[in-house]
Amino acid sequence: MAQSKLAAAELAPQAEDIFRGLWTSLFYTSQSPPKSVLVCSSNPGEGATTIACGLALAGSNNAGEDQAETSDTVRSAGRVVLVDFNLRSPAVSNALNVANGMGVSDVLAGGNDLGEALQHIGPGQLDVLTAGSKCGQVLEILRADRVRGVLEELQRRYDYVIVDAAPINQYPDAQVLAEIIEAIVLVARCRQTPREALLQAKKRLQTGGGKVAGVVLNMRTYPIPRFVYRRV
Amino acid sequence: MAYPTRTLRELSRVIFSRLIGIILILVVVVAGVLAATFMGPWQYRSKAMLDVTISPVESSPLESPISIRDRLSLFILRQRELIATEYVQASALMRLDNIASTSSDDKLKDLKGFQWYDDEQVAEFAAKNFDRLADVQKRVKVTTPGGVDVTQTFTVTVDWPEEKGVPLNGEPSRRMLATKRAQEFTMRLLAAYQFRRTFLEVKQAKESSIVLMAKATAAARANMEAAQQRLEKYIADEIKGDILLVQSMLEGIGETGLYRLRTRFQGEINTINARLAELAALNEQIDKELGKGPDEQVVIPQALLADNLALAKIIGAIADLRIRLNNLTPRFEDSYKEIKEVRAELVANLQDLKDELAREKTKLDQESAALHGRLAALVKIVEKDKTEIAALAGKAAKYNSLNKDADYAQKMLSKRREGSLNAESAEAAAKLPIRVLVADGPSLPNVSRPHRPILWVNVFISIFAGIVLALVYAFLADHFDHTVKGIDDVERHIETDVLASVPKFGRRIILHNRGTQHGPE
Repeated sequence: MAQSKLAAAELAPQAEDIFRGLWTSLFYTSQSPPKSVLVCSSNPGEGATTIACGLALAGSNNAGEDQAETSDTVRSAGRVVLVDFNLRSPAVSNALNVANGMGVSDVLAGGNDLGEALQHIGPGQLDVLTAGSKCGQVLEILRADRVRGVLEELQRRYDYVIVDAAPINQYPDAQVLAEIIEAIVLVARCRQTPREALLQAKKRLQTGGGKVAGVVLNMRTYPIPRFVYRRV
Repeated sequence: MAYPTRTLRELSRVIFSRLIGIILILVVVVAGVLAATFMGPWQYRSKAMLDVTISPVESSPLESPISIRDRLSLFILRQRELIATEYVQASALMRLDNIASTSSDDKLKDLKGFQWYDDEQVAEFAAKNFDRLADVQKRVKVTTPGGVDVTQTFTVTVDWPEEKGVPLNGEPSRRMLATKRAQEFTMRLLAAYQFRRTFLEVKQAKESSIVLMAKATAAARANMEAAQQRLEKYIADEIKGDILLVQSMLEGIGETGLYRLRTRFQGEINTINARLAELAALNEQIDKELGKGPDEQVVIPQALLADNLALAKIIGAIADLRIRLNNLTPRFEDSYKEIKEVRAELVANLQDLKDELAREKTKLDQESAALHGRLAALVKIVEKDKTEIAALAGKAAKYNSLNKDADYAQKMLSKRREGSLNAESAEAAAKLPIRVLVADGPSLPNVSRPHRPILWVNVFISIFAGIVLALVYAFLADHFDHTVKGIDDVERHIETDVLASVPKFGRRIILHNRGTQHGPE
């Protein structure tokens, strides 16, 4: 793994609490919290990558706090890795402003070393595995047995694996990954994602053997003014 | 709707989520209505109030106010129908058209001229201007105050719009022209109404008077015929052959008829009674004279002498004999032959006198017996007459009454016949008992204050309609919008928990800090 990268990212202050809450909902409220989470949307442009990045950043910061508050024995339990499995239109690198050099496709298709492909994002304990440069044959890459191996390797190395995937209603990528990953977060964009599309996405994921942990409502608007909202 | 219940918050969400659309619709609707209000044709109302006065002759002081009010209400109702007739409105429109095409001098002439149109002219005009007339009929309204206290006025209103095809005739604008024409049409309408009302009421009065007179004549004729039938039936059933007696009885009370007959018989009876008395006196005197001796002077009643010449001759002979005897007696003895002969002749004449008196007495008795018989017959006749008169008196009275009835019926028939031909009586009957006067003349509408459209009403309606349309739009749009809108929406339809809702921040939520070196050791 590259030991030092110049990339650094953090959540905007007003978003930090929200993503920490999401992190808590995912990993701290159940008795058997998942180690890997797939984040995808039903259609493109609904903000799944942003949610995945935000979740990963919040988790890495949480993990850092947890690490500081606890002991060195649980240090490795706070490491978070964000994997960009959206080989159709990779966006994590842009979102986190890191180079989309060696990545998932290179590891899976080209046999490159996983550690070399990982990039660290400061200031927390977040590593990123971008989509990579060999994204032409996506299904072949995903069907490869190495996917499970890579993910298991990441789960061994990290406490939390966050996977960003292509929109489920457009591409079956997430459906393939659903069986491997323990929990799925569906992202819906408020006033844009149709209910039917969201329902179809959920069904597809469930058909693929995935467990939908919940929905994140992105870009939510509050049309009722505050002074009215308080009275109704 | 997709929601089982719409809470107030959801309603608020629907409204506020499409607030821009709602405001846009509201603005567009209000602006559209206002533009149509100001750009569209305006309508002006000219109003005239008419006062209805009931004639004091027509209304009795004893008539209740409620009755008068009801009559007035009914009258005003008829006037409303009259104003709405084709004749009134079409003729007013015809006159307005004439005014529109003539100069102001002609207008004055036209106002004074009152040359109204006949029914054929109006019908022809109405047939040619059917749509226009129908439009005018919608604009004319007659209103009454209404309510419990119905007053004696009613109002005629005419709503006149701007017209495109009419020349301005010097008016500055079409709206100004519309105000003038509204007033002018109202004036013509009232004039046409007054003319038509007078015309129809006179005509109706004439017709009704003729009908009434004809009815009265027919009734009088029937009455007369019935009276005559009753009289004839009474004569046939009751009087029969006594009609002349009854008529003479009625005609000659005291002098003619039965009374006259009865009087005449009574005179004869009286004469007979007088004659009988006279005969009895003569008989008594004759008996007395017959009882005298030969030397006694026999006096013959003058009544007998006048009728019996033999008695006069005997009396004359006796007188001569007595004179001869008186002459002989002083000179001769009784034994003298001549004296004896004279005395013997005197006795013989006296005997003849007595015999003659006896015959006269017999004749008197016979006359007396005849008179008694006549008297008895006359008395019987008179008694019968009295009975008949008593019986006929009732009949005569009844006959007289029936006859008078028949005469009266005849007179009435004649009077009715004369009355039905009397045109003046019809005209008199046509006098209008209820007068209608224009109390407040047709008003000239203010050009800046049209009757239609009413600005504030249109604004109110447009706002209301805009709100309704906007709400309909909002709820329909929300109904057909299947996108997820909130946590409840997701949980209800997707049946999946919402882990988080990320607000729309409007800026990037991931900040990059280039140049900072982070990373694990």
